[in-house]
Amino acid sequence: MEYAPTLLAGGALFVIGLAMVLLRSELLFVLMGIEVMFNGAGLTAAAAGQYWNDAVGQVLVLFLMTITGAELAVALVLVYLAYRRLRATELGDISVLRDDGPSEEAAQ
Amino acid sequence: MLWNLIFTLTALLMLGSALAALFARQAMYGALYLVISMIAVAMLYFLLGAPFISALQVSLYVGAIAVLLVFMITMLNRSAAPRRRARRKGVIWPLLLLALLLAEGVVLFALRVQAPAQSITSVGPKVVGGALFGHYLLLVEATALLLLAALTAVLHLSRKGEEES
Repeated sequence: MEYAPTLLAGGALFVIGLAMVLLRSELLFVLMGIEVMFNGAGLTAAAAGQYWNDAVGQVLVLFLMTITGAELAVALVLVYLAYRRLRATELGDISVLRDDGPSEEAAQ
Repeated sequence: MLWNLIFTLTALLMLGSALAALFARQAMYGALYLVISMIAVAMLYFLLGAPFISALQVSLYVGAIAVLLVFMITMLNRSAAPRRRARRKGVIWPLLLLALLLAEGVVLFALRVQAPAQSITSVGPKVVGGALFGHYLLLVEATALLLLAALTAVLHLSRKGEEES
C-alpha cells in the first residue's frame, strides 16, 4: 500500500490546524483548530494501522475520538464561562489573571 | 486508477476546506467548512479500508462535536449581523464542496471501486471490536471513567456559571 500520500495529507491537515490555533484569536476558532489537528493525527494513525493490516490503528482512532469529545465538552463550557464572566470571545480578552479583574467589579 | 483519482480528490477537498475554515470570517462558516473537512476525512478512512472508523467519524465528529460547536456559536453570537444579500453567496462554495463529496461517494459505491491490486485489505468492525474488548478492555474502562469525569466537570462548571450570573 502506498503509505506516503496519506501521511502527507494527515501531516498537512495537522499543520493547517496548528496554523488555525496560532493565527486566529477567536476562542472558537482555536477549538476548531484543535479539532483539525486531532483529525490529522487520527488519519495518520488509521493509515499506519492499515499499513500493517492491523486493527490497532482503528482502536487508536476510536480512543482519539472519545478523548476529543470529552476535551471539547469541557473546553466549550470554559469558553462559555469566559463569555459569561468576562464578555470575552477572543484570546486577548482573557489575559486577566489577577483577582481584581473585571469579573469582581461586575459582581459587586 | 479510479481509486487513486478519488483518493487525491478527497485529500485535496479535505485540505481545501480546512484552509477555508482557517480563513473564514464568521465562526459559523468556519464550522461549516470544518464539517466538510471531517466528512472528507471519513471518506479517506473508508478508502483506506477502515469502514467502522469511517462511520464513527461521521456520527461522532459531524453528529456530535460539530453540533456542539454550532450550539456554542449561536450562544456566543453577540453581533447580530445585518442581513445582506452578499451573505447568500457564501453558501455556494460549501454546497459545491459537499456536492463534489457526494458525487465521489456515489461513484465509489455505484462502480464498486477497488483499491489498486497490491494493497489494501479492509479491516472490518468485527476485528476492531475483538481487539477493543479483548486486549484493550482496560483502556475502554479508563475511557469510560474519563467521560464520566468530563461529564461531572461540565455539570459543575455550567452550574457555577448559572449561579454567578
